[in-house]
Amino acid sequence: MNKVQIQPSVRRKTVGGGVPLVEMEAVRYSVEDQKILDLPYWKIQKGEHSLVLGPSGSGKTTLIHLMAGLLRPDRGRIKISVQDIAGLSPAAMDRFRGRHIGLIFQKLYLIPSLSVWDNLKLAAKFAGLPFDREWADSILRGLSLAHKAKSRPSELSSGEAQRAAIARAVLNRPKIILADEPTSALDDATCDNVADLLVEQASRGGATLVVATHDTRLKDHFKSRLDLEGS
Amino acid sequence: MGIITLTAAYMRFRPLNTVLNLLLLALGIGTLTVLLLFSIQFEKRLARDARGIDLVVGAKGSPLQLVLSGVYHMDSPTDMLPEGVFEALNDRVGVARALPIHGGGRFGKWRVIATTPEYTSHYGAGLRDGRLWEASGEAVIGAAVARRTGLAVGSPVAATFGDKTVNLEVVGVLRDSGTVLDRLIMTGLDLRFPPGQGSEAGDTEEVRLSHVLVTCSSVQALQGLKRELEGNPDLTAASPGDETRQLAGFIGLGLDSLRGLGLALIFAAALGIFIALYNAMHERRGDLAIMRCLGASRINLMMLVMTEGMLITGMGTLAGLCSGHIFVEMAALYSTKLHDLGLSGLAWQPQESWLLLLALSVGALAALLPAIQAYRTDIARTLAGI
Repeated sequence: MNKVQIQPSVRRKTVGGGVPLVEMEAVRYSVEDQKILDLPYWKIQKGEHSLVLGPSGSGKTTLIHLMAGLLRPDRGRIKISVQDIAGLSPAAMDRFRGRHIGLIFQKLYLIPSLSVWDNLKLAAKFAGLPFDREWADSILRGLSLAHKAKSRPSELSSGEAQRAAIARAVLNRPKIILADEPTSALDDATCDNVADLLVEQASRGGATLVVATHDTRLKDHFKSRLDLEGS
Repeated sequence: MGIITLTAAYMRFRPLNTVLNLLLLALGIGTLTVLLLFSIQFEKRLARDARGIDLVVGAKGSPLQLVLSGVYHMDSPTDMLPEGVFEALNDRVGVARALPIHGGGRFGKWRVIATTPEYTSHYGAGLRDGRLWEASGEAVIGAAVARRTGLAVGSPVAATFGDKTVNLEVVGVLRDSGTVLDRLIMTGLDLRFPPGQGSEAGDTEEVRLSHVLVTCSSVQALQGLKRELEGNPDLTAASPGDETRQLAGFIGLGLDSLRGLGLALIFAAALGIFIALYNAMHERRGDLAIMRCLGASRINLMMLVMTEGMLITGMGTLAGLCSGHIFVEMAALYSTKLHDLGLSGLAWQPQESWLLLLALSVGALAALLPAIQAYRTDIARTLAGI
């Protein structure tokens, strides 16, 4: 695997050509003068599946949060689908995030008082999009969750809950799916399964996929990779 | 999936919390509703029923009892008047109107009085059915009596006056007048007592009067009459205005204490809602953060919490208002005293809108701080587990 050192703390694997879906340039993020992430340049092509690999404290989660517009960089540009998200107002960023970005976290954050189906409906509601029942149904069928649509998260196994979180992330046909440590707490078999599902669901909707993890078991599932080193 | 559906789902998810807060608020609102209905209807009743009556003249006794029995028909008469009092008052210069009353009759929990048809015209009550009484043994009933007892024109009524029973027949039903007439059964002063009750069989007896309701033509005439009656050892003259003000003062003290209790309950409920929402904000930080990830704005989250607070408050208020009205109606149905007061739970008082506004304001205030907390949720820190 060809790794290009672009900063002492950041390495990336080369990616393909064309207009990138994600382009990050001279992005720096720090907390109280302590540098958390310094990324000179990184781009991801549309439909590409990319792995961000690095140990704890390397800035993986920060990178995902920056790409999702949950954090604002100290400086630099973050373009998603040509839109410089760092320049969006908070309200516009909320709308953009809801419509174009699907998020998955290690902790799944399914709303416990709602059924799986209602969790999906909520994703459409907050994105300001109509709820496409057929599409939602096909996602659940694709994830073998159709029979659990009316179940609450507490009634799901951990694998089912993980799949429900994936279903919610892909519901609005996002341009990009960002997953932060989606497999860290899973055994090998489940880890492979979740990685396959992520890739499969992203491909199905034509979405770009970025998975940030310290879990080296995922290496083989992704052709493109950005390595972050611990500070 | 609207904000209200989501809020309702949260409320269902913590049913005990929700129900306890609802109950506490409903209890406070219910208490205040009962007090409001009671005090407003009582004051209105006092004012309406005493309208146009300057003095109540009766046998020697308590002025308050005289007013309660002669004007409001909530008490038994002090005693019967000496003969000739009505005629003397009726013929007196300065007396615009004198209405004779023989009170103290009962039909179940309803009051029966013997008087002249002029008594109904004093209150401006019209007939809904039939006609006014003309002969002995005929009776006219008020609208509430007709509604609640099912009595109608032609119905027999066995009224008791002390230990005597009089058989009457309903010949007329009055329209709703919002006065004491609604709850009265009225007949003429020539009562016919059946045999064996102190009278000859079937004899008509002109009963002695218990009260004379006097309307004076001027303030000077009223003052003069009062002075004259004060010097009479056999009579008591009471002004309904003076007596009811005194009565309202006594009752007002008790009502104020209960009103304070009701307000305390509402504020305790508001505190409960505040604590529940404040704790919920901590429990749901992850939910709020993921909602922001799904595209919800800060305002959306604030509205979500405010909606939850307002929904609990709205439901609690509604439950409180309903239970207050039901309580008053049931109390009036089962308590003769309250029934005699003309209390009803079926009427909406405009002042209840203020109660609604108070409750919703308190609810909004209780939800405000947790809502601001939701607004300020730091998504990145929450999702990073910091």
